[in-house]
Order: sequence, then structure tokens, then C-alpha cells
Amino acid sequence: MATDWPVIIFQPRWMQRLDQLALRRFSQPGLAEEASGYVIEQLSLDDWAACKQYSGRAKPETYLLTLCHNLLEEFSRKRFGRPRPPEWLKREGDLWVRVWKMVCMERQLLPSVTDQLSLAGQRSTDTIVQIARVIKARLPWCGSSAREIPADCLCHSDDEDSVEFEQPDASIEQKLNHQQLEESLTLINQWLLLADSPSNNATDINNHIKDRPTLASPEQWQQLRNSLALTSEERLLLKLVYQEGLKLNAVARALNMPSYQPGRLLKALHTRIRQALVDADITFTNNTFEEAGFNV
Amino acid sequence: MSDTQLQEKRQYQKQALLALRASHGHLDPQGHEPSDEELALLLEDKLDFSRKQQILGHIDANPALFSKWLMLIESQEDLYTANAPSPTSRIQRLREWFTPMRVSLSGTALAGVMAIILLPQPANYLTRAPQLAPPPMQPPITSPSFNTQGNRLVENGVLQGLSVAYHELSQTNQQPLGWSLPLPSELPQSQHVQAITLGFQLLDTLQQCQQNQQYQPPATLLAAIDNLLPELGANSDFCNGIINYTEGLISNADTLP
Repeated sequence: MATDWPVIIFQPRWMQRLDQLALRRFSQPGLAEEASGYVIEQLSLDDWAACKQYSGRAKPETYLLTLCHNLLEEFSRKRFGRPRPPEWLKREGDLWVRVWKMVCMERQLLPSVTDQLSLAGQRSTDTIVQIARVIKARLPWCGSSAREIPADCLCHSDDEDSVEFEQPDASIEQKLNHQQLEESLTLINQWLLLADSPSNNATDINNHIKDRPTLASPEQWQQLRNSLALTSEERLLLKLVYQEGLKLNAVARALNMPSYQPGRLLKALHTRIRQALVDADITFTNNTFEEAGFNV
Repeated sequence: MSDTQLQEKRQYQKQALLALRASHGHLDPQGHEPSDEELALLLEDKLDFSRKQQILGHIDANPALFSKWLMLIESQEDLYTANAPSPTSRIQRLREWFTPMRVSLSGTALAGVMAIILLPQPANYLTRAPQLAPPPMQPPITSPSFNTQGNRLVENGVLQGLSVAYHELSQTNQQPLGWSLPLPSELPQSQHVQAITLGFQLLDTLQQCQQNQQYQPPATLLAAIDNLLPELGANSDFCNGIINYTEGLISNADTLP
């Protein structure tokens, strides 16, 4: 049976949810209202052509949610251009990129950004404030209406009407072939110790740089990679907890696990990581970490 | 958090970031990229195991897809937190409900119930007693049973809580439930505060279950169910168990003892 999209979409409950999504994404009521209007308009084009891919396996409301997210991002790109975050930001994780996008590109106020990203306590607001502080320190133009956004932070798409979400080739890391990746891992090793990881304290690093030996050779990194063998689910668990700062009960819901499971999995994972480091003969003591300036 | 705990937490975080960087690109994603509908199915946890693993592989390997998935789960999280029961509002609602008149009516009803329990029983009391004891192996409850005084007290309380919470909903929010639930004042009055509170929670839970059949209830609710309706807690399909139980409870509301 064909789904009656207008009936679902124009339900007061769904319209309210769309308004909430838009407000959450853009925080300014006027802009959010404009974005909601854009979503409805795009969905209804050509007799609801955007919904035609639906096969009926998922709930229509959840399917609509994914379409709305695509269209809200599309609206953002049309309004603010396609953002190109600096590489150092990408390395820190998606949360850093989102704070950068909201504060620097869309010039949203920090309190509303922390409010949106804290998910009613599922993520620490201190983390978000700290990230924004580091970004503003490194990018003085960020958030200042008197200064222009540098051109290299924006990429205006040739095809303004493109409906696709950001393409997977957005990440430079993805373009690397295997050999380059191995080389880059060695570089990452150096970067972890010395370089411009914004979560490191640069002064401390400079103070210790002369005496510090290289901790791992490329062979050791290869061995570490082989012995870790993390699954995608395990990597996502680590990312959600340590890069995105989500609390464990939110992570459990995200990965459709019982609430107790992420904690148990993390415990087992840490044991494996410690063992893998030992197997690769990479020994980090607390002091070494501190000396290396890891204040993550 | 003590210094040692903080240091340990930092150590874990460092190890995790190191492991993430070292294992980057170790696995190539399998299968085709997920469509929007497959992402919706992932949110609903309706994918088979192997496809779910493939899609998680794509999400892990593709930063843009990861970002999109993260925003989707955050909007689900918004819905979760918006619908989560607030302890303050619960207490407020309980306070509002327990007006002196209601308390006196409830007290009278409770006195009646206690009298039934405590007064000397007729001669066939001993022969009835075994029927009141629960059988050794009970199937999970999917519908209410008013077979014991204890059950009656609890179920009256649950129904009362459900009824108060239901009649506080706006008409728009009542409509999807499709219930014809008597007004709280028309029900036998209960003073079983825990059961009434559980009734409040069950309505919230039902609304959550209607949004997501895989809804995982908070530990406090599970503890309350374990305490008051232990057989219901043993039901492996939580949402269906709750839905069937509540519907049974409401359909029997008119015939409550």
C-alpha cells in the first residue's frame, strides 16, 4: 500500500518534530523556520518524489527523519556554503568539526551551541566550551561578525541544486592508499607526541621535546595495528565515548545495546589495547603520557 | 572524582584515541553504502546482524556518514530526553492528586480492603487458600490478573496512576492511545503510592514503545516492575509485554473488584 506522505508530514506531531530539528540545528528561530519551510518544499516537489525511494521496511517517520537531516544540511550549505574544516580539526573528531561549523561558520552563540550539543546532560557542556575555546584561540576570526570567513574554509558547490549529502571523499585520510596510510601512521605517531594536536599543551611539549625518544617505529605501529584488530562496532564505541563525549546510556541507545553493555565492552577493550601495546613493545607509563603532553 | 580516578580516566582516553588512530583503515567496509532507509532501519534496530555490521563499517570509515548518523541518533536522543519522566513533575503530580478529599476517599477504600483481608473468613477459607498462593511456575504476565488481594491492590494502584496520567494528557496526545479509561474518581481508590507511580511511568513507557519497539526502559522503572509486577519483568519482549498488560488492565477496568 502506498504511503500517504502529506498525511504523515502535515500531522501536527510531525511538524512539531521538524520545527524542533530545525531549531536544534540552527538555534535562531527565524532561520529554523526558514529551514523547516525549505524541507517541506523540497519533500513535496514533484509529487513527493524525494520519498519515492521508500520501500516500507522502516517506519515512515524514521525514514522521514533521515530525509529531513539531509535537507537541513543542504539548506545549511546553500545558506553558508560547504564548510571545509581544517585538517587538525578533523583529526580531533566530529564533535570538534560541528562546534567549528556552528560557532565559526554559522556564528551561533556559544550558549546555544552548548545547549544543543549537550543533549540534556548526555554530553558534558565543559567539553563543548573547552573545544570552542581552543578553536577560537587557534582561529581568531571565528565567531567574530567583524571579520570575514577565510575563503579556504568554504567551498561553494558548482551544482547548487545538488541534493546529495556531503560525499564520502570529503576526508583526505580516505584518499590515502594503503602504503600512504602506513606512512601517515608513523607521522601520526610523531603528531601524537609533538605536533599540533590542540588538545595538547604546546608549551609543555616544547619543554620536553629535546629529551624525548621516539616511542614507536613503523614496524611497531604495524604490529599494534595487527594485534588490535578492532571491529567497526568497537571503533564506533570508542569514538562515541572518547571523541564525541557521549555518556554510556546514550551510547547504548545509539548502538542498540542493553544499557550495561557499553561499560563491559569498554572494560574488555581497554584490556585488549593494553595487551596490544605490550605485544608491540610500546610501553607507555603515566609519566610518559604526561611528559608527552597528552591532556586529552 | 578523586585524582586517581581522574588519572585513570585520562589514561583510558589516551589509550582509546591511540587505538583509534592505530586501527584506522584496518578494515575495508563491506557491501554497498547504506541508503537512507537502511539508516532508518539501523536506528530502529531492524537490520539483520551481518548487514548491521556492514553498515557500521561504512559509518566508521566514512566521516560524512558518521556525522549524519551521529545527528540522527542525537535527534532520537532529544526525543528520548523530552519524553523521559521528570522526577520533579512526578512528585508535583502526586502532590496535586493527593488532595484531602481524595486521600480520605482512598483511606476509606483502603480500610475496606484491609477489613476484607483481616476479618474472619468463612468456613471454606482453608480450601480457598491454596488458590491464592501463586503457582510455582507462572508464565510471564501479558495481561493483568486480579487473582489475589495483593495483585488487586497493586493493579488498582497502577490503573489509578495510568488514569490520572492519561486524563492529564491533551486530547491530541490521548487520541493515538485510543483508550476509554474511566476518570480517576470513578475507579476504586488506592493508596499504594508505588503502584500509582508505576502507573504514571507505564503511560510514559507506552508512548516510548509506540515510538520505538526496541525501547530500553530506565533501570528505575525495571526495578519498580520487578518489585510490584515481577512476572512482567521476566517478559523478554519488554514493549509488547507492557502494551498487552496495559490494554488488559484497561479493558478490565470496568469490572474491577
